[in-house]
Amino acid sequence: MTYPFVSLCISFCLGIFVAETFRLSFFLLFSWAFLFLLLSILFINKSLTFKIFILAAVFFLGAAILRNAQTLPSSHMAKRIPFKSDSVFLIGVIESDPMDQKRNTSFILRAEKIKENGVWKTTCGKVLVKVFAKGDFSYGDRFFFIGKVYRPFSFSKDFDYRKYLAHQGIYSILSLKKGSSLKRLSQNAGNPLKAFSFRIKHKIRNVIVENLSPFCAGVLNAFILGDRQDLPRYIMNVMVNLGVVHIIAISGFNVGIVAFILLLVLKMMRIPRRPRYLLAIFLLILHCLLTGANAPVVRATIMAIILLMGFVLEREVHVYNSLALAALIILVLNPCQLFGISFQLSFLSVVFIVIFTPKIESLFPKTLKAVPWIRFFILTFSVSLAAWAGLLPLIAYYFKIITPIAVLANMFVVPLATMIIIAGLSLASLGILVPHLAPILGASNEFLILLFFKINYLLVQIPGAYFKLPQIPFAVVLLYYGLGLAGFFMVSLFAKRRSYR
Amino acid sequence: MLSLTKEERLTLVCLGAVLLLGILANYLLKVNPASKKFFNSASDEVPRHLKVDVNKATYDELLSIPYIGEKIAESILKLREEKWRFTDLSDIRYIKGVGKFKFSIIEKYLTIGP
Repeated sequence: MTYPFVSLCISFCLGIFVAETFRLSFFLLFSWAFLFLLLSILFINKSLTFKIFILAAVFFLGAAILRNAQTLPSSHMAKRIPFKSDSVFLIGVIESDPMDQKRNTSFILRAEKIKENGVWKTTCGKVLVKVFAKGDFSYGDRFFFIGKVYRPFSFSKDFDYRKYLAHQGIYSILSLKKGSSLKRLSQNAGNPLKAFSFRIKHKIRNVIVENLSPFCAGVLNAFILGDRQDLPRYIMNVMVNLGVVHIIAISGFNVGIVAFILLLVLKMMRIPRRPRYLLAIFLLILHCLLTGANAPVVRATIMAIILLMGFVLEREVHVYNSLALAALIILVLNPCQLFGISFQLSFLSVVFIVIFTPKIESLFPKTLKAVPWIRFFILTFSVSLAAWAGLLPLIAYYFKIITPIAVLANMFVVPLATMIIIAGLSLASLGILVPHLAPILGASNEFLILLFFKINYLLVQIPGAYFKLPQIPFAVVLLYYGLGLAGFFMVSLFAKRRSYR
Repeated sequence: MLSLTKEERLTLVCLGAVLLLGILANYLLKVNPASKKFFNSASDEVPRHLKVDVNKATYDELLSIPYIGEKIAESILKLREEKWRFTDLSDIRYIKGVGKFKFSIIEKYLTIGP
């Protein structure tokens, strides 16, 4: 069994990392990638030499792709207004689902034209628009604005907001105070499929808001639609302290449950194997659009599609290979994602779950595993412990917290969260099709969400549930993973030798 | 870890080459706006020798242009007779059956000679 994509992915990631650390020119990186690709063609028949050259080519390719992604065209908004500018005349199309917050409405605008010295000039790039006035905004609307444009600035020592937005391709913010000029020029200038998905999303949101209390509606919106604007801040803090915040952020966990439910329902409908997987892939893409196609959902959807395609093609699915391929695709599309916390957390958690769950499980005696409910308990514990151990240094580095309670919390919270997502999706789908059923489903959702938070509050009060830490150096994180990897290989080697004897 | 057959190696190298070429083109388009001309000419612009002088074109020559059928070719010739010669290609836009989209294609194949 071989995992070609794993080594290619590691090499590609290293290339991106090096390009971010050292400011090397695009042409230098491109030339090295070209040279090594040429050498790999010349030595295509020599296995070892080819491996070395192709890995080097992929390394420099990753670096060149990052440098290319960081290079902005001369017409880009960030080049036209590098720092700050008053009263900018701008035309653009709304590219995201507008988010209504207490004081403002925000959305991402795809800039098209900007007025410079009285002349309209073509421009490009994404702009984060913050409107501090009432207005009716929808995805796909083409708007004319007069407002202040400025470069994002970091308002906290611990969080680089400018870098965070830059990784999403946003380099400018347009602020529109009360009384600013804005005018809708046209509608439906966006992707029709995305517009359709947002319409369904709004319908689902209405069903949820109409049938649940404001608190539960805010939680369920975060669970199944990824809208976190109505989620109280203290709830987020409780979940961070428990180490279960991944549940509330729509991510691989949610997409996995949605895929599981879809496959189950399609199986119940007696749809044959291959069409069932193809239909599930289509519905997952629709779900991805429905949740606004943000980076974590796109990532999880790509991972799920690659795994499902293995079943469609009736090929043996290798999790490591599929994961590495998904990571490669995501990073080729946007190499900046490698530096995103969610990318690192989601891939590392899956890798650690896949590697360590069977090893932890094997530590329990076989007699215990013979009892079904104990086996389920052992499996949940093993998954939870593997994910916790894998993410421990990263969470300590980024969030300055260690959450020993997370192992226990995940065992209770994950099954309950699964039930909430199932109930929430039932409310969303049946609430639209059969509105009379919505109040009943709403009541069950309400009960499950309240139970979920009661358990969370109980767990977070246990002494020693979490410890706040000072900032740890990144070298400690690298040391942890280095030692972990070395330990894993040594144990595997030892086990292999013992089995030969 | 990276055991590949010869076919797989070839596929990998080809993919790498295509990707490398793609990012080079993308980078050039960003940093050097002049290169846009090259890429546009490769995809959009019709080579000069394939263009037809609208003031000298015969009925058959007009028919060889995409989106020009018998009716539009006849209308162009009729308009040319009326106007004696075209001074602006946008006059063709007013012929019945030539919409905005059709005109955007047709005008690429036409030129106004001296």
